[in-house]
Amino acid sequence: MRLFGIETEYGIIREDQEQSDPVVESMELVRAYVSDKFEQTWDYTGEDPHADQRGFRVTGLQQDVEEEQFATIDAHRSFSFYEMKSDLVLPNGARFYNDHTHPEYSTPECSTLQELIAHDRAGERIIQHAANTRNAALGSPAVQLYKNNTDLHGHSYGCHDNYLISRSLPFDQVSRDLIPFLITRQIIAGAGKIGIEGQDRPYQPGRYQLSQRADFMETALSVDTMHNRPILNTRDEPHANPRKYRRLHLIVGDANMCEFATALKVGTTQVVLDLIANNAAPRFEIDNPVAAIKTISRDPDLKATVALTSGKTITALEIQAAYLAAAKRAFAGMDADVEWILANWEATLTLLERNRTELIGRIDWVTKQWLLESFAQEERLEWTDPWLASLDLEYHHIAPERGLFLGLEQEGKTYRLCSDDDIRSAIFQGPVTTRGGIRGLCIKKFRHEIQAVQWERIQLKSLTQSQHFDMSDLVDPADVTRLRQRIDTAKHLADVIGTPSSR
Amino acid sequence: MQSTNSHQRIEKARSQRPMSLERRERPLDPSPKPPGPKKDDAGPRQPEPGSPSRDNLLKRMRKVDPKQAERYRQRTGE
Repeated sequence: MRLFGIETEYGIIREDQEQSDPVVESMELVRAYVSDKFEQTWDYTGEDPHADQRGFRVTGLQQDVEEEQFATIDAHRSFSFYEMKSDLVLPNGARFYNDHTHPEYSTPECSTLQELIAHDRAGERIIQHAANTRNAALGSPAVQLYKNNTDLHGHSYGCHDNYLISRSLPFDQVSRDLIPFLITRQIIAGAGKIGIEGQDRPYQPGRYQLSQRADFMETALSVDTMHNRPILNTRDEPHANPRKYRRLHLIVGDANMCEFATALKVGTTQVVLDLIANNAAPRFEIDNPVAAIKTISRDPDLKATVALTSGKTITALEIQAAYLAAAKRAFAGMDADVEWILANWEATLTLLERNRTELIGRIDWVTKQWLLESFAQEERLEWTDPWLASLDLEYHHIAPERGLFLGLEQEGKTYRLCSDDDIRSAIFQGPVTTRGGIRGLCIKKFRHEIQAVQWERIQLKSLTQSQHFDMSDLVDPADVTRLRQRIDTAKHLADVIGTPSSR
Repeated sequence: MQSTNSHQRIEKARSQRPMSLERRERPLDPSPKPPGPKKDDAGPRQPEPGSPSRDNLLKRMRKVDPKQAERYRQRTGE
C-alpha cells in the first residue's frame, strides 16, 4: 500500500503595493484560475485538526487565539469565510485554495514517485498560470509567488508530505522510529537558507544552513502546526477509513525546487515507514531532538554530532546510513521505485561526503549554496550581505523568467525525473491508479451533478448527506482501475454508486 | 481550461508511457563524473539558445534587487 501527496503553501506578494492584503491576494489568485463562474465545492465537515494520533482530542490549538483574532479582523469583510477560502477541486484531483493567507496547492494522492513529481511541478505551473491571469487583469506583473517556507523575518509556512499507513501500526512505534530519520532527512531534502531565525524572532544574517524549517521546530511531538511546531505532527485526520488507516501528516519538511530532492524526500520516508511497519528500523534515542535538528541544519559541513541518551554522539550521515542499510536488507530488489530510492539514497550520502558538487541541480541546499558562493565571490560580497538573502528568496520564485532555480533548469543543469509533457499532462489528468484520479475524473465528467467534495468522498446534489460516493476504502489500484472503467461508461455519477440518477 | 479533445489526447499519450522512474534515469553514480542532466527536458520554458552558461545565471542574479528580502513579509502559515 503506497499512497502519498504533498501540500504546498506558497509565499505571495504584490510588488506594486507597500503593504498588500494576503487574504485578498490569495483569494483573488485562486479565483483567477477559473475562467467561468466560481463554484465552491469543498466540504469541510469531518475535518478535525484537534484529534491527536496518540488517542485523545485536544480542546484547543495554540494557533486558535491567533485564528480568532484573524476571524475578528475578517468579520467586517464583504465576503464570507467560505468565499475567502475559494476552495477549488481541479480536474487532476488536486485541491487549490486560499489557506487563509497563502495560496495552497495539494497534489492528488499518488502511488508512484514519478506521478508525485509531475503533480508537484504541475502545481507550480497552475499557480503561476493563475498569477499571470491575475496580473493581466491588474495591468502589471504585480503578483509574485515563491515556493519556499520562510519570509526570513520569523514567519514560516509549510510544505507537508502525507502518507497513508495502517491504523494497526502503533503511533508510539512510529514516533520512536521515525523521529531520528526526520531530524536527519534534511541532509538530502533541505532547501537551504541564509541566516538564522525563529518563530517571531529576528533574523540574523550570515550563516548558511541546510533547512528552511529547522529554525521553527519547537517540540518533538504536537498536534499544533502554526505555533509550537513539532518534528512529528500528531494530527489524526486519516481522510480514509479511520478503522484501517492513519494519515501521517509531516510538517517538518521544506518545499523543494529540485525534482530529485522531492523524490528522495518522499521515497526515503515511504521506505522508512515500511521498515517501521516491518519492525526493522534502526533504533536511536536522540537526547534532545529539537536541539539536534537545529544543530544539523546549521552545519553544512555535515560534521556536527548530536547526543544520544546513551551518552554517545553520532552524525546525521551516520544515522541516515543506518536507515539505508536496514532498508537495503529488507527491501532490495522489491520493485523499480524502491530500487531507484535505495540506489540514489546511497549515492547521495556518498557524494555528500566525497564530492557534493555532483549534487548541484539535485539537492536544493547544495545547489543554493553553490549559487550564493559563486555570486558572493563574483561580487566580492560578505556572507552577511542582504543581497544574498534576496537571492535566497529568488531561488524559489516560480516565474520562469525570474526564478533562479528555474534559470538553472533552463540551462539544463538540473536533474529531471519527469518531462514537460508529464507536467502538462498532470495539470489536467489525475493519477490513474489512485482515488485522486477518480476525484479528478468525476470533476471533469460530472461536475454539474456534484454538491461537495472531500478527500475521501463526493456528495451528489440529489442525495442526502448519508448517501454519497465513498472512497474511504479505495486504496487498491485494481479497485481504482475497475472503478475508472465504470465511470468511463456511466451517464451519471449516481449510476456508479448504484443509486437513482438525479436526472 | 482545456477542451475535451485535448484531455483525450493527453490521456492517450499518458497511457502509452510506462510509469516507472527506471525509464528516466539510472541511479546516481557516486564516482566523480560530470553530472548528466537530461537533454530533452525543457523546464518551464525552452532552454535559451546556445550552450548552458553560468554567465546567464549570473546576469539573472545581478538583476535581483538587493533589498527584495528586506521588503518580503508573510503571515505565519502552517
